[in-house]
Amino acid sequence: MENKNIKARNIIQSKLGVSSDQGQKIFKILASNVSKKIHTTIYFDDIDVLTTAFLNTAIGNLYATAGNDTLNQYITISPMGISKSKLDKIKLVMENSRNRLTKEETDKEIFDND
Amino acid sequence: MSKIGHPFVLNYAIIYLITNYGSDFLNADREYNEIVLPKNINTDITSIDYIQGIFNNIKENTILDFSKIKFIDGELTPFLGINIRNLQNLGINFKIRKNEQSDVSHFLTKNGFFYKILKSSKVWDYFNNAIQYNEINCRNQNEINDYISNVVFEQIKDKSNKSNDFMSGFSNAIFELADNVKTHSESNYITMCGQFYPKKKLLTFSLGDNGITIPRVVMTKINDFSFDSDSDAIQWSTLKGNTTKKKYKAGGLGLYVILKSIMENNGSITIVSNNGYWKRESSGEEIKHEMKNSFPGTLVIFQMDTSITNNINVFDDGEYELKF
Repeated sequence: MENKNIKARNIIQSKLGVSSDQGQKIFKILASNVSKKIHTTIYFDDIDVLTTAFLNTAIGNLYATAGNDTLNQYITISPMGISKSKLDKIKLVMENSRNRLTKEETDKEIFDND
Repeated sequence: MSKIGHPFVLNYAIIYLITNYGSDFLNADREYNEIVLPKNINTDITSIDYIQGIFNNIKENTILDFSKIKFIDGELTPFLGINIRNLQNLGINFKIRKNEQSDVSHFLTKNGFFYKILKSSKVWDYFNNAIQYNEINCRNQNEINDYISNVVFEQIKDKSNKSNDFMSGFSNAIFELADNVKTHSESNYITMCGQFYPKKKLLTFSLGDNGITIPRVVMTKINDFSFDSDSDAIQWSTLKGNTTKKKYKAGGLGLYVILKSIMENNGSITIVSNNGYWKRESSGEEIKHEMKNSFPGTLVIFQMDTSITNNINVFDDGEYELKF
């Protein structure tokens, strides 16, 4: 399996991970790599502020694109260099999104809205 | 020549008025109504509701008389500023009357409020524990970050009074709130101000906007629920996982994360939006009220311990597992 390492800091070109627009840049890379069956390790170190708005888009919305097993197979979120409060926030976003989104439900929701 | 017309008497009278009321009295105009603000302006429901009633009844150009105020919570200046801005946007002009000798006038001049909102008496140095009043575009991350780093944190001069965890928690709270404004209220600007208490190592701060209020956003977008009151809608918005975003979008944690962080650090948070007034203390005590007078926006007031040190750990690979 092909492996890639990405630093969120380099993708968003900022030490502030605070907007959903920035999160969208991370989401696109991760979702694209999952669909191409490329394993990605993502690093959030060297980012001073991580908001739920950013994380919901970057990480949370991935639950709408693939199942948990697939996401675990192709994405590793490195805890390296991140404070506990930030890790707790990432974990909270993942837990909340897991409960809120599943691919099947999301497809149905989008299909129904169409 | 009558006594009142004597040049010496006139000069003395002008000097007396400038000394006691500031030069703005010179612009006072008979076409302006005059409103005297109360002696005490604080974050209690009674005080906020009373002042909101004053602003909601302003229909014409007005002289706001600040000269009788004996006490004002510094973090309430955004509440005054948002109200004044809203009325200015409706074409109503304001002038001020102030007592230059009073501490309150000194405070509101030196924290930039009078200049920023009423273009009066520009003084840019700082005064004791006042943190500069500011209005910033909620999309301008760099300007928000500059304000946090160079104004708020700079004001907490003694480094022993500000921990990394406080600075991280505070920055997070401000950016979460700014994103809420951008996403939900559709307002372009956030208004911020605060006050630092060195002995208590406590920061009181507020961030507000004049956009669509929380109760209106919640009641418009969430058709599954009906709320008995605006304060119920505010409370709902602070609970984990509650969001007005579409179901296939992740969301619903912004206010919850802020609330959790503040509660864990012996703080308190108050949210005023439309007719709702909702407050939570770290003890768990909750206050919900409906105001008689609706506030045309949302104001979040919070207190944080600036010396907290409970989440400082930085992890190495393998020590903390994040699984989807």
